[in-house]
Amino acid sequence: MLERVLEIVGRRLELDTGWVWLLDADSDRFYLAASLNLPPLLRRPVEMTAEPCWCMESFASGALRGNNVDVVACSRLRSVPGVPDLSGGIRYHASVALRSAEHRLGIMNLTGPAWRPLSERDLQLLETVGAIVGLAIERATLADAAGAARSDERTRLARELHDTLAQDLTAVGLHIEHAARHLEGQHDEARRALGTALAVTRRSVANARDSIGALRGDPLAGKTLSAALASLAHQFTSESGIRASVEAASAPVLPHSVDVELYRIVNEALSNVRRHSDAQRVRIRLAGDAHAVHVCVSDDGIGLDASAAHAERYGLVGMRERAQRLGGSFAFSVPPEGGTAIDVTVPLPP
Amino acid sequence: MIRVVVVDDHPIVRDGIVANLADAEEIRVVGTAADAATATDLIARERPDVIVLDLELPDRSGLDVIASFTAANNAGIVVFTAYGGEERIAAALERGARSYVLKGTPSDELIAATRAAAAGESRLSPEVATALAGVMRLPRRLRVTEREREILALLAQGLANKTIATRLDITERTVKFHVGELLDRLGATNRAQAVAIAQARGLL
Repeated sequence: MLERVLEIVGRRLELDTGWVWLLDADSDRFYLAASLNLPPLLRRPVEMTAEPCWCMESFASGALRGNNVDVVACSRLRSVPGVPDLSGGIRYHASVALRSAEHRLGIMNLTGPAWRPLSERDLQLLETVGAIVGLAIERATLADAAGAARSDERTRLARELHDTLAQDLTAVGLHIEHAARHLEGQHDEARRALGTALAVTRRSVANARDSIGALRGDPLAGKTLSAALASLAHQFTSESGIRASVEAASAPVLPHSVDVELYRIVNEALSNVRRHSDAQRVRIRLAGDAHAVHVCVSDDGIGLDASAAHAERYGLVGMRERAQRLGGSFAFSVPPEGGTAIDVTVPLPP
Repeated sequence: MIRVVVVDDHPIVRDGIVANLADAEEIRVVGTAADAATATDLIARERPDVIVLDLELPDRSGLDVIASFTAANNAGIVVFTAYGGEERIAAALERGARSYVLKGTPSDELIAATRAAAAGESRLSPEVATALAGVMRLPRRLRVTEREREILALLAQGLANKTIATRLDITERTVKFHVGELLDRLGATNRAQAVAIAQARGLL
């Protein structure tokens, strides 16, 4: 959504470069949420990893107001003496504060090599766009909050499972053990029966503990797969500087276990991209219909060698195993247009 | 004779522990408690050799009382709990527990751990030892500090930064800083995820 906004507004104002910082409310840190035509300088990972810059500081101090679109000499864009100019001639950008009625949400920056002072009308347009985008972001945040509420519900359920089922089963097991000990050497028939009861009880305790663990340690934290992948992509981008995007077209509702395994596969694929691929962008695509779900992670990096010698190092074995556990298939490829891609297809139960 | 106090809030689990310990000839259970406050008085009065301690107590976290119980009269503590979780196991042993036994393991194991604790020794099941080794391999920058652990517990209750700040008597800005550090250390993107990860690792 944000990239589309940058594109449309950019075309209207003839500013072909832009990026959006969003503020993570819990940690007060910015992450790069969208970008368009970044100059080489800013494409280098370290430049876009939420290191503070002047526009962030003035946003934080409240000086960057929605009704006053500032043009800030960007500390991020200044060229380093003795280093070839990679900034594409850009020195300044317009910064638009994104906010809702109650919250400061982030900053949208627009610029272009042919920078010119913006007219009053342009500024008004930017201000309006900022307000609308703020509203859209606020709505998306509320949807996230609903996901968090689901996660709280799971935690509550886990606690209840522990307090009732797991505790009672533990008690039953202890009393059976006690009884069996007092029957030692006698009443073979009764001891055998108690032995069976104890085995079943222990298995149930273990199962209950696993369920509690799954409820608590859910990597998706109660979110849908596409929402969880979106936060994974945000985190990945702000940590690595590699721009990750998620396209989730009509993602089907999946069993939780499938969600979790697919999430882990994508997580492993991203860690490969970060460590080995030397990429600038990575796309995560999630699609599916009633019969199967398909996940693809592709990057624009150097293209990894898929020969057996490297399979272990790149964690391909683990990804393949996860896919197979779901009855699905896993493919690793180096497409002709460059980069590396992994494809996972998992059939869904009819 | 090994004198033992049993602390567990579930009455039938408590009875079951007592019954099984009493099956061992040299062990005598001298008292039981359902919460930390009662346990504190009981331990001061009875001065047991070993305390069998559940970590889920209604009034305080069992983790928080381990140090004071150990210091009070040099009793050996055997943690007997439903949850593993590497950080929790490490925290319990760090604070002075001798052994960590998971509920559901055969009670002979609990009896053996009680004997060992009386002799000043530890007994760790392979499962517990593996978890412990996992924590020790964790790089220092990824380890959660005591302060962050405190904040995690409040996050898990769903409290807002402002409320957490008031509770801990620090500024909201400091809370935000700690939350940021926590997200980094746990590899989480938001607080819900941080809480989920922390729970899986036994930090809560």
